[in-house]
Amino acid sequence: MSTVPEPPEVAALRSALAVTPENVPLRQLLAEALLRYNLAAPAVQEFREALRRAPQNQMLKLGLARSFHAEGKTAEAIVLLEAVTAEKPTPAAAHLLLARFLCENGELQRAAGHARQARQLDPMAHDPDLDTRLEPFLRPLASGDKDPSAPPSRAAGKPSLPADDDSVIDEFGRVRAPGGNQPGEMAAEIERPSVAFNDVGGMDGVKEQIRMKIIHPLAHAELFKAYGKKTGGGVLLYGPPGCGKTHLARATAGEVRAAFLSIGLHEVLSMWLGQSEQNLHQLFDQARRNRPAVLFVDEVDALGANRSDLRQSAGRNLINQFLAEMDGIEANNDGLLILAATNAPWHLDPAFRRPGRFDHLVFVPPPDENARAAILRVMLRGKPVADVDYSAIAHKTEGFSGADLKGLLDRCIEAKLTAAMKLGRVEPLTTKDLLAAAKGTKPSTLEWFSTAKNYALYANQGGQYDEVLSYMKLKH
Amino acid sequence: MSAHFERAEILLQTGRPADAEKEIRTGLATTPQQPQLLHLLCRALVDQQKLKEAAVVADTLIGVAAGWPSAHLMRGAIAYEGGRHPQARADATEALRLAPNTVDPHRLLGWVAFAEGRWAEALQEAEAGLAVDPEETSCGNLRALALTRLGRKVDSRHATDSALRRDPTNAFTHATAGWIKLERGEKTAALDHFYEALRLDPTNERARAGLVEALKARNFLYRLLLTYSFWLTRLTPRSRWAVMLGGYFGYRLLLSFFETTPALQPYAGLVISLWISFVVFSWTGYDLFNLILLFNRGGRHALAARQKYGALALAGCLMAAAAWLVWAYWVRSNAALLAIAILLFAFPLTRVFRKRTGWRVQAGYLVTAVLGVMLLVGLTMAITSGNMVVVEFTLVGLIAYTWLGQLLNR
Repeated sequence: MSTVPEPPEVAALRSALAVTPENVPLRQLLAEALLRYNLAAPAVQEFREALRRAPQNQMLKLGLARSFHAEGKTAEAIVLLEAVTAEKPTPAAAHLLLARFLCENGELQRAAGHARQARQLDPMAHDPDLDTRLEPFLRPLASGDKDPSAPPSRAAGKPSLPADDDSVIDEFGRVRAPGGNQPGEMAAEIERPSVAFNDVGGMDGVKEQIRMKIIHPLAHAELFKAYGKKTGGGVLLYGPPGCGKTHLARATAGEVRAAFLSIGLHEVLSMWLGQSEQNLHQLFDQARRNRPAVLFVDEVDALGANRSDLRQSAGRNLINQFLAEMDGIEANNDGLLILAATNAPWHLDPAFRRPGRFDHLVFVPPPDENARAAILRVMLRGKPVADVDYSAIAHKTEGFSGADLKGLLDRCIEAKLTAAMKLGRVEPLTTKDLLAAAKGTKPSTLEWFSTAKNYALYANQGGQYDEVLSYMKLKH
Repeated sequence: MSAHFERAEILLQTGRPADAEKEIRTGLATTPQQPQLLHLLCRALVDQQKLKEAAVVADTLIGVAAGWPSAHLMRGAIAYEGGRHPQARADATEALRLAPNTVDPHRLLGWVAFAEGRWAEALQEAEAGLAVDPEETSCGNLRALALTRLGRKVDSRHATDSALRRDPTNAFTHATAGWIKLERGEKTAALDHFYEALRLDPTNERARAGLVEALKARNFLYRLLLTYSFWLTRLTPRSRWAVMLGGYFGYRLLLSFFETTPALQPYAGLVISLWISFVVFSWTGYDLFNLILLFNRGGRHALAARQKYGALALAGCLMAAAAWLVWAYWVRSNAALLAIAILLFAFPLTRVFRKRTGWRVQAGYLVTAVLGVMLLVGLTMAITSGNMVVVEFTLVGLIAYTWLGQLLNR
């Protein structure tokens, strides 16, 4: 690959600087321009050179920290920023930048501390994205609230569970089990889901596959051990978006009364950016300490992208680390179940599907007619309805995902609200209203199936997409 | 670089352009004129085929980073995807001026030249790109294609083999090899390459289209049509018109010779039939064999939606013409005229489902709608009053379409 010369803007600044090399603001401009064009190494050089001439300049130090971060040296950036924040006076931007980098590194508590200090120094200094991530840590503690950083403690009114007495039921009915983390570690929230398979409508075939692969081995662990079979392993749920993969994963954990740790796309991306193989190891360790545990990786294709597709070596290291953790090379994975969900199983590195890893693929299709009727019943519970024919609506919504049905209901309710406001009274939802909302609405799963069809037809040498072919009635 | 940029890059690399777009727009909310973010946004929009939006963002990018070669290349690539070749060429030329010894501007210029049928120029640009980076896959493929179009069979074969040796797991290379072999008449080898390209990248549209053509080419008649189409493609637009006019006047000359030579008079009808068969087949062969492919399991799944609709439109016209013939056999004596009009209407109707760009889209719809209305009116008048005037006008219009339609269907 040929090297692209520096942009003319940068070249012009260099020429000017060649005339007045002692001009610190000009050098700062050059360094900022280099950083804008993602030329991190030259930017580091220029910031260092500028600091040699103006060692107390805090903005130069912040620029250098950003350049370190752009180079992937987040640890160095953090060290530099800690030194800046120790100086007086400290700019709010320094605390905010440090908060951002600490957050990416998984040190949420410390990040929240610095974010608070930034806001104290300058009320306008905040990052909405950062605020969202640090929300539990930034929320002021009310009486009765649990400080997320507090050590685990016994809570009153706890249900009796065989696995762990230190449990709390949250406002969503999920049973949470705090603890199992070492201070300062990157930790996922541990839940003990109260939902089980009975709470999942339809999907009988999928539930049976999960029973055979996960639940029976755990329930009869001694039997499996007698035959030398390990309990645990990996199951990959794949299918169109909005069809209940995450809900199913949670229900699986509830079914086996295991701890449930969930990693979402945001955490995965943060691990990428922080090059945090260590964080990944800590997550697996946390799951191992709380077994039996289900570690759920949502949108795993963002983590397990085909290594040949990646340009950064950092990404490949993270994938290698994940594979090593799954293999349990340095630790025992007995009792640890790894469930993953993806909309794009074809993007996964083939190594993920090797025996012993995600060797069991489960296709989670859109809900069938009975399941759609059940979902609609649950969604319409507590709402004003009049003689709704759930079967008729389910029949008309072939291919709709759970999310599509929710969208349909929202549209129907909006239309009904408009009518209700005009009449000044509550009008019940009828079959006609729901059918009208369904008319002309295409399921969002169509796009997924048009892509999946290609993979199922042309890249199905191992038969891994046979279920998709059967569902689409394409199997020869 | 911001976390938004890095996250968006990862999301793009892992095939999530919609998520990447959200991430980039969040980043742009705080730094609206960040060139790297704008460039990445263009990529995310192109990946989602949102070309119009991408073009607007590309203009903004040029506005904030006019001296950045990558900005011009991005706008040029978007223009190329949208069929706006002059814009693509201008941007690639500017990128080349800003960064003379790089491969990307040559690659873009080469593909633009190829799309415009300027094979020699395409070859020149491909070779200029390969001079900078001998391993560049796209330039390697372009070179092989250009050599094929220039009729340099031996060089084309070496170039194709070389591209495959360089990167045997590249879907684009296999798809290109497939098209080259199909053009050379090597249908079995072409099929293998298309299947391999689709195995590597099941969403590769070039490979899918090639697979459809290769499956149809198993039929001798379609192979003849394909050979004729490839030959026409290698000609310049002027030469194509010369071939068409020459063919028509040649036919008229031959017919008049047959008609005026007593010994050959009985065969004049054969000449007419052959000519009409050739014209009809050249216009309907593509959709006719798509229709046949609908009855083949593998072929049915390979056909794109547009191709299926075109095939069904042809089937509709054939069935309507047949139904009219059967009905009019018992009632009218002027059945043939109307049946021919219905059949000829398949020409513009099936073209509606072909991929067109720019003004040709609306013009195609308009012409088809006008001819369709005329046909319906003619049919109604023929049934109610036996008046065939409108049908005759429609026939003239449809025959004229076989000439003027060349402009619409380039």
